Amino acid sequence: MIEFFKTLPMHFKRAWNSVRRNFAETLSSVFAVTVTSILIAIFVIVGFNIGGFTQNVEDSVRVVAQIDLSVEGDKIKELQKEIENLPHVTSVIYSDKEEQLEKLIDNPQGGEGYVDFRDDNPLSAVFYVEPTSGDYLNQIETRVSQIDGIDKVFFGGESVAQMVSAFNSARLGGGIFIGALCLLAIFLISNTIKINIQNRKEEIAIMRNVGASNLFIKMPFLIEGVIIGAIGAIIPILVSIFGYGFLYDSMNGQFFTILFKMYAPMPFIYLVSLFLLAVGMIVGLIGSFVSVTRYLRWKR
Amino acid sequence: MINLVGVSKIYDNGVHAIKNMTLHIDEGEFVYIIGPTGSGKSTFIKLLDGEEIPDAGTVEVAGIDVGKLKFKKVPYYRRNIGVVFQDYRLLPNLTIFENIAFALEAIGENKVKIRRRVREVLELVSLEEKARCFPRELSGGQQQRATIGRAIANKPKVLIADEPTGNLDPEKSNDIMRLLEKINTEEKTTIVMVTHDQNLVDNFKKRTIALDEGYIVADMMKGGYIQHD
Repeated sequence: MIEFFKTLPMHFKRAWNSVRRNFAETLSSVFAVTVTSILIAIFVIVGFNIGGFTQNVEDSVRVVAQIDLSVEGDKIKELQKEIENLPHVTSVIYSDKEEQLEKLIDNPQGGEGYVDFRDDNPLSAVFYVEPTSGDYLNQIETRVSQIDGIDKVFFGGESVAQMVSAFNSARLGGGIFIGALCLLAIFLISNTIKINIQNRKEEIAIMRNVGASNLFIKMPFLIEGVIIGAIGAIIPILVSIFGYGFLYDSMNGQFFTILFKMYAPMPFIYLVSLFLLAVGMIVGLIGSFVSVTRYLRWKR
Repeated sequence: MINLVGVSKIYDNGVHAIKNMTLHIDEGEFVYIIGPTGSGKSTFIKLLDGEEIPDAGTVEVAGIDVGKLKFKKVPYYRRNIGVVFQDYRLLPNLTIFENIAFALEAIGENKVKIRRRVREVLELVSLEEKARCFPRELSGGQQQRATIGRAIANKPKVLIADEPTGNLDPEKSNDIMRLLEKINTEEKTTIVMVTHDQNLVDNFKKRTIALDEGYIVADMMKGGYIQHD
């Protein structure tokens, strides 16, 4: 074990020398990692932002419960308490019928038409019920509608639920795609390491001859894979740091509507960068490990 | 140092390479192995360095039963043995210094010791001037001296030289022989040298073991090449 750590710096040196001296092969696998990582970066960024959009949409959706016209005074407070006590409800806000009418009137598109109703307001007062998460919208709708004194309950309904589920499946699809890309990168790196092993058959034979242990022979290839992965991650990291920053600024931090708020670049993009570096290195390690175990056939 | 008792080796393809060989080589000896192609010389070397396992008998080198070695232990055993090849087999991407240092790095020696020993070895093989050169920049004789330097860097107990002069002209061959003799006396290394070169065997007289079709057909302490029919 001590021997292992003692030789580690030397393995790094040898791996680095090999990276430099087999520049063409290294470049090809670095390129493979770069392309893959850029795609991964795009998917991670888009995926997270879709996640954020979903969150925003869900957050801004609330259940509107119309209070029966017959309910008045203290009974309204009691109703409010009852709804607040339901599971997954964060807050219940009361809005009386005058406020509802003013909202209608304030609508710039034909709102003035409602001014006449100020004398005889036919609207109901409402509760705005905020769920802890968009997932509970349906459940809360059902529960609230069963309460006595509540006339009607509605929320964005089906369209919102559909959007949320579309977003979720987009994220799932993205995740699967990232997994497939990682496999592709592993395959490409393991192929490069395989070529390197073939190129260095002679070298390996000599190592064996002078009594190098199997681990000693494997180490430089494994480290080389990690180095290739790390180098391959550099360009994607730069692209995502500058690209996302630029996109964020030019879009004013939102994707067309205020509902689709983008993640602020700090610290989001650094986490993404770290993730890309880790993915690159792990992919490199796995790729070279595959080749080293498969193509370094040990004879005695 | 080297003890073979009743050793036989048959390859999977049915070739009976070594037949019931019993042989003893003492510590510090310098021995030629001669014989025509296919006489079992290569197999003999492979048995010594642990690459092949005998089908019968025991091969013992430096007190280790080579045939019984576990797979994982073979590299560590091999540190007792230096091997020199006809075709040099230097790493083309490493300088001469690095090539020799490599044998020491492989066994986890520390840097200071490596540097000291490599300088020592370079001096022994008279390549101090070429330390920073790559193998391609050296002549055949110089490359072979570098290979010998690498083989003896970790002070092996046994040095196996497989036709070390096979690619060299007579003058260079004599240089190599003198170098091997120097190593034999100065480093007290047991040397087993496989050769086809009749002149060498005649000029530098040593114990000579002649193989033919897997048998030892002659073992002469006085040396000299034997003619086979």
